[in-house]
Amino acid sequence: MFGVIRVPDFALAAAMRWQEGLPPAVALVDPSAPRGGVLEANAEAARHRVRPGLTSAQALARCPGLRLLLRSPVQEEAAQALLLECAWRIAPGVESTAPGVVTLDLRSVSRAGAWRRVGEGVLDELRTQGLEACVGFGPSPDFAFLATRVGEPVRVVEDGGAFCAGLPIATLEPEPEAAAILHDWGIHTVADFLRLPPTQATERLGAEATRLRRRATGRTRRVLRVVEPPEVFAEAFDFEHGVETTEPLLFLLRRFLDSLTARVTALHRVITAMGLTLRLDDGSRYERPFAIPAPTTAVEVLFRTLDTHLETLRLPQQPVGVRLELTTAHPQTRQRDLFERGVRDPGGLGFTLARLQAIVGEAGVGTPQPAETHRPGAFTLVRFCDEAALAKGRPVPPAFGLPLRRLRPPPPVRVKLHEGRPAWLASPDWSGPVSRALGPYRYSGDWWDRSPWSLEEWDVELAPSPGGSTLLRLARRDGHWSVEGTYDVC
Amino acid sequence: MPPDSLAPDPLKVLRFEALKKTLAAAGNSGARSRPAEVWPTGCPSVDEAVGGLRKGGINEFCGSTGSGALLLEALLREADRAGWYLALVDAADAFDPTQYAGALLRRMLWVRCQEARQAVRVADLLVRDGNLPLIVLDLQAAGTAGVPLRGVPSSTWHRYARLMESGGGLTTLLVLSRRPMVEGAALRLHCENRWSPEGLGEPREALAAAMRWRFRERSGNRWAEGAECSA
Repeated sequence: MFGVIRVPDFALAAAMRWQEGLPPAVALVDPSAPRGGVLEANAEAARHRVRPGLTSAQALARCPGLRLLLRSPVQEEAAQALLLECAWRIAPGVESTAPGVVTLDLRSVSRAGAWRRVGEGVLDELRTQGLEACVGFGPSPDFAFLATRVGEPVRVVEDGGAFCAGLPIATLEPEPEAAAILHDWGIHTVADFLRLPPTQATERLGAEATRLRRRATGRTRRVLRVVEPPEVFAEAFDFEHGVETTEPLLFLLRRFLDSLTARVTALHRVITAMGLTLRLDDGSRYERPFAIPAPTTAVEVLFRTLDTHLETLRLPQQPVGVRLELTTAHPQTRQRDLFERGVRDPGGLGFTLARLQAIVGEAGVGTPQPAETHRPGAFTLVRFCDEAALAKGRPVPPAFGLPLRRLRPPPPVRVKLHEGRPAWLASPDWSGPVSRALGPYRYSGDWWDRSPWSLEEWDVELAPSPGGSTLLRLARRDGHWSVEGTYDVC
Repeated sequence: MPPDSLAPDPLKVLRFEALKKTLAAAGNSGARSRPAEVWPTGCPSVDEAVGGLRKGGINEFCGSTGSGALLLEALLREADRAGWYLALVDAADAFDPTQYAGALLRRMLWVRCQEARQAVRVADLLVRDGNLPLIVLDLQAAGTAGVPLRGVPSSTWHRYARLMESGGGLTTLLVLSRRPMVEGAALRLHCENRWSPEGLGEPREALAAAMRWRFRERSGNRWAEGAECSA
């Protein structure tokens, strides 16, 4: 058994998906066409004789209440991904046959007698995601496809020959030239066509007759071009005009999260990261990744993170498109140690981290780790509460000396040398004679690269004053001295 | 039931004994022997004298920047040993991760602020969040060079205290400063050490053990002055 899920007027359905308050008559226009040619129209618009090929002005003249929508490739891509995901929950082998059409190989699935219920389940799921579809089941991919074209939401075809006999010949999608000849002959149904002598029909219609006959009798055999499920879940929307406030964005993002988390939950996965992309009016993009401290599928937690970020976001241009992408993983299965503690409310912590990033910047929050270099003070910041980093338990080696506190950026200082050693400092913060100097400590690196570095460091003690002593670290780069940090200041 | 089935399973007995030893070791290490309302600092001289930081309250450390950095390292070691998370609100972006073992930093949230007022706001958010049991607000480096220590009104500390009380006392705040500045601190630790260049080559454990302390603890509306203590 094979199955087909088809969304009629797919491009229009994808464009209508996240729209609110649409009138009954809606048509899709091509923004690249000179006069905005109509590509697809819904049933109400078709009732007013709005047909593909009309210009926008002609369509509006025929149906004054018509709402024209612009075609959106990103929304079509997201809708096609949704169809595929729906199909993967039923069948292991799925083909993305065409935009709005996916074919399922159900030969290894034992649901005999329950196909109608399966189809209704698919329709319900797609309906909650904003798509109206048709589902057909048949003994071959072609029969399953034809079963979606009979006007029923779910159609199960057991006997392909008997099913096809009653169909109009147009459902076989003949070439226009062959369709006109058949119409002139008075052939209106598949049964009429199959009664024609095969040889004579081929002599008059050519290879098209053979193709139609093979399709009507289910003798077409083809190998499905099976596609693999992606690991990323995404939704997108293109606005017709620039967005001036955050409300429309937040409204859409909330809908996106509702839809995507439902899909992720159905696959027993959790969300580990989010990626927000805003397409701006001048063609540029604003991209922002969000790491989730505790992987979750809680919509509230994810939405608060986005909401907090958008509250403080200032963009040079108005957004005209939004895309939200979720990265998922299997739930964490690592068991904690007997005395190991976790955070009380990971979702709340994620929200707090997002607010902290809004205050101090993205590079100002995280867990520091020393970088793989000998350059003094080099480090990297990783995501806080990274379970993978925690799992790498290593013994802590003993440390020596007072920890240094760095000055970022290091302030310049004038240094007077005596016999090659610092003897006097002069700077707005520290001035005076040096009582002791330890060094020099010379470092260099990246000499094999385009940005080599080298410096010479000294640990110095300023002469004790009534306030106490001061221990500093000085550095000399290319002959210029700076105070790298302080060991001890009273 | 046959009599043989009443005999204990040797494997289970061994596991039970091992669990008892683990629990005893945890208790002896200090986590269980102290009252529940103190937080061990990992610095032996402090923990033996006053038990540790006052849990659910504001604690203040006053001393030189070197002593504060040593106390921070002791706290990091204690957090790593006990499996707690802590946050470091760095008012002057002065913390240098390369000065500490990478393994010690795994449980630390570092927030790099550019001024004291920003640090106060960040600490406020973390106290309200209540997820991290220990928050270290480092104001020691602020004011050392070019970063003015301004914009911390005294009402800040009362607000923190109220927030921590309303949060169920789950969060402990430690303020590192060079001069006393926290009004109403539950515990104030004074470290009087002055470090010389010789301290740059000694093991940190030895340096921490050499720290001399005075403490001042508030009980109700009264202050109890502690005697000088050292290792």
